[in-house]
Amino acid sequence: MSCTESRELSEAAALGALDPADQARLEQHLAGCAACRRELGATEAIAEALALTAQQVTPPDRLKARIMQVVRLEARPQPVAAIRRPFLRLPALPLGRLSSLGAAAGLVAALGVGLWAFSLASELESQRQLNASLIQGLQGRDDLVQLVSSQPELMSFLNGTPEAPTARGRMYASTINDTALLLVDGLKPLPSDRVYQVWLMQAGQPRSGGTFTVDGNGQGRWVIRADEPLSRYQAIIVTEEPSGGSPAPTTPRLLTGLF
Amino acid sequence: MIDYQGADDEALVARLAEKDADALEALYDRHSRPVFSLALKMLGEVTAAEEVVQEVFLKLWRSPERFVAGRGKFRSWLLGVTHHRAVDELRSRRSDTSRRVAGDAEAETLRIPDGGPDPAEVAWLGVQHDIVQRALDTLPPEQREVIDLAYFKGLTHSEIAAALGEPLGTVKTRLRLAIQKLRSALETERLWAVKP
Repeated sequence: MSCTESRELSEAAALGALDPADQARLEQHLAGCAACRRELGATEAIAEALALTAQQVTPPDRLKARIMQVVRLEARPQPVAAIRRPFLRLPALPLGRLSSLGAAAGLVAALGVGLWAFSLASELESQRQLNASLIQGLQGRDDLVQLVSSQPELMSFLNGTPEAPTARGRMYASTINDTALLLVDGLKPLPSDRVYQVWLMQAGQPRSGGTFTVDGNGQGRWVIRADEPLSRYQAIIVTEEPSGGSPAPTTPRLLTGLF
Repeated sequence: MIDYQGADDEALVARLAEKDADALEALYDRHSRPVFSLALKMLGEVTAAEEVVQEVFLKLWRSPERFVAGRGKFRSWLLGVTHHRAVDELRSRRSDTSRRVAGDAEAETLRIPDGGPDPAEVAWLGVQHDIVQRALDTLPPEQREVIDLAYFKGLTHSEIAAALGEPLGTVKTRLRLAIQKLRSALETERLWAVKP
């Protein structure tokens, strides 16, 4: 290929419009011609300019969260305990204060502010419904009361996969034992023969963390009791399974969180 | 202490070799908007655009040596990688016609999320957008059409000729003329280094 022909093709090449045969011939020529490489480089600025004619749209926050979750994991591979961030530590509440429904309401207020801070302002009504359901749920739920009384720390943000793009969640780990509280939002309510199942991932192997359902608003909570210290797991995922749960995931992941 | 906000792109990319996550975050904050916008314009679907952006930034994170400082601006390179990946996706869709392909209309009805990048950066992008759009508007409609088909729809010369029912030579000439005119218009703006 001559330099003349190369330059005739370089403009279309910058836009990615060359047919495969022309592309191969051009690349062969460019490999040995610095002048034509410079010419192509200048033409690529046209492509950059064209890219900017797209209507400028800010990407959703969840995309950055998803990317940075992977990046930070790969940047500093550390034991789970070192990654826990106490910035959303809940206030300590003595168990004795939770003996009445009124005290439970106080705890729920803390949960409402602390754990569901990622709810949008427009979701205040569902927030109130959630608080009411939590108050009811706390009665007779010593496990949940005990967990939120132990100053749990935020352990993981969970992001929805393409199968459940609106889903999100947070997992709070107890600082005194191997239980964790999972809060989810944006999952679709299921028929009575289906449940959501939590999986704790250890070296790529899923260990069931129990099953739960969500209310009509797509919100749910679940206390996870791990067989082993939570620091030995690397991630949490949620799938949809038949009622009673499955021995291993049988459907695509809906939520993923890295520790 | 590194000033991530003040550091130039090349310095931040150099930090990626040290697996500095804050450097990647600074690059994301600076460039994710034009990258996402290009992918969205080409693919017309938010989910598909997000996947492309994720791939592009994770590829940058894992193989920062692919960008060679001195061979061009970082943003040009990053947008080139994004374009290449989106073209692959479009070609894959064309070979699998059963898949739903959304049009630009879907992108235009998108909700723009709250928050976002630095307002000054957004304003500067807006200025550049207006300048290129004005340059494009000076082209005859048939030249704008071939640029759109080539760049945003990912069609090759032959595919454009088939789509328009025009001879291949005509399409090649038309695209070349269109880019030359665009280049000439942008040279007068002095915003892009379009001379070799």
